[in-house]
Amino acid sequence: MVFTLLNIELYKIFRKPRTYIGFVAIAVIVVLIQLAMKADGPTWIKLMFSGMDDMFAIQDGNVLNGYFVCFLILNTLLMQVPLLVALVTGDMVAGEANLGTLRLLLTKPISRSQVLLAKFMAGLAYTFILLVWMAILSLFLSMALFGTSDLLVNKSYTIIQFYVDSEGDDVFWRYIAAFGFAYAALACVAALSFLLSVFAENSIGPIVSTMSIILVFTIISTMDLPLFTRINPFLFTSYMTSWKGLFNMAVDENGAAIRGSVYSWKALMEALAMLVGHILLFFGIALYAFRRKDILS
Amino acid sequence: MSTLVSVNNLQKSFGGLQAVNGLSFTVEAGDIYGFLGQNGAGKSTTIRMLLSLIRPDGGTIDMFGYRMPNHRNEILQQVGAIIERPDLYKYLSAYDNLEIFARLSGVKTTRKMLMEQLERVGLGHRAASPVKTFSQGMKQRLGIAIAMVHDPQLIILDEPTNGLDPQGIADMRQMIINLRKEHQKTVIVSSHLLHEIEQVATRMIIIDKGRKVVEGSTQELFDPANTLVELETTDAQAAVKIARSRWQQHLEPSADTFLFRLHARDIPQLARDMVELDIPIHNLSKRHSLESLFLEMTGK
Repeated sequence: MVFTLLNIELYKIFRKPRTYIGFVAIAVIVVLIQLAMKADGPTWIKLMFSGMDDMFAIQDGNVLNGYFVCFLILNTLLMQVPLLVALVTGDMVAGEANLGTLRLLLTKPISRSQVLLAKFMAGLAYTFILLVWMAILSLFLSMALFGTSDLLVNKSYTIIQFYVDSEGDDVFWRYIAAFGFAYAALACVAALSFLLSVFAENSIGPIVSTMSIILVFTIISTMDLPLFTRINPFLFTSYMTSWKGLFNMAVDENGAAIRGSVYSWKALMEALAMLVGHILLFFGIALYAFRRKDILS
Repeated sequence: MSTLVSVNNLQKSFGGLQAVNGLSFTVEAGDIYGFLGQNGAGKSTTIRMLLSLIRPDGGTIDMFGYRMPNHRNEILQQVGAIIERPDLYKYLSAYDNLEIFARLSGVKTTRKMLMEQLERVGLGHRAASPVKTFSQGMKQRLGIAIAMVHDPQLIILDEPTNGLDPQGIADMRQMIINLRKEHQKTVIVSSHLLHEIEQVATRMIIIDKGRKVVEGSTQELFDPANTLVELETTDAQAAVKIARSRWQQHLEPSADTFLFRLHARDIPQLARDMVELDIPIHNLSKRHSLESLFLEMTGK
């Protein structure tokens, strides 16, 4: 029954016009950045690397390649995408309560747990599809428009070079892993807005609340104050940009970067575990509340 | 006749407000059971508890021999419902809405079967139209199709005539009667309008402040021997004339009008006698004692 429900939920999601806002918004932002890079990319790169990019031996001298553009887009976009996710997942229960269809849905011979699980799975599926769309545009379209070459990443006054040469491509797999990690982060946002949706009777509340929580938590995560430092490890927002850890390499005893390595897999796995833990926690609370909720809408 | 629904000492409060207070009633198979009460009397709360949308604080609900909510799914397989408004997915077509709820009810659907259901409620020609283009009456009919799609034994309709025009109300009334006559369904229908219930129900209950005021068959409750007749006249001497006449024993205490309690068949004789006594009649109207009770209860 859950799969029938999931099928129905996906059908409802993709018949709603608001679902496509996210896809259009991502396409517009990505294409605008790509156009800007086509027009003024070289100047911008000089500014970003303070002219130091010339010191690196880049294959074909193509610093402004698809991988670089994708890195730039992900840095820009991954903080905005939560809003696009919350637009749909914050509407999943509250929107039905507002429409009045929730009460009709819950008079059918299906358990509330099944209804909620199917809705949550549909929300996760939407988030996944949105991320795949983002990957197609930001990675594959950028690769097609700008080609592929070594990736230079400016990290804390250090420029790290990831190679794409005859020995292999040390960048592409990092992006696939980064998108996988970003999915966990966005799924966490989806779970939060879904949880808030269970308590609301219109979708504006959960969407605004989700973004407010992310904003407040992000401020706490970024301010280096003793109290906040103690809280940080427990906030899911502290792990939302941990995908950047994939673009940092381990070094050998001579201080040379080890090709194909990641600076700290352990930190990445811990971050992933925290995100998954938050997803389970948010869904668990949502399920507990929904099963006991009086449907008065 | 078997008992389909048995509600015993049902309780529900929201904060400090006792919405349903010790309510008990039974619905027999084949009934059109009228659920009557003013707005806020506890009708919708009770109906939502029957459908497990609201958790009771106390009391029991047994339907089809099962206890709610332990056997929620077994019960809901045999129930179709419209609660208040027939709110549907406005951005989807009538056909899509029907298909979704049919699948959720566990029905294996075919296009032919769904189209037949839509034809039955007169929406076959609008199957592909989005529900947002429908009138309230059309939505109500689609709601009925959805409630019926899995062929349930019991149909629950909460205020089904709300928002309908007079023609829509008449159609709905006929549809409710047909559900029992042609489809052998048991129907629970709630309303705050006595005459709506009176015209369709075989049995009824009146509730007020979450409590039962009266329950029984419509025939019993609308017994013609219990008719009230109201006489309006400008003649101050009329009271004396009536007091001397044979209608004195039927007079009911009333401040500003003459009120008689008598059998409905005696009304023509009353009218003739009033004329003979030379009482100017400005109005002679019939109403049932149940209506008086309801009007008193609702403060109208």
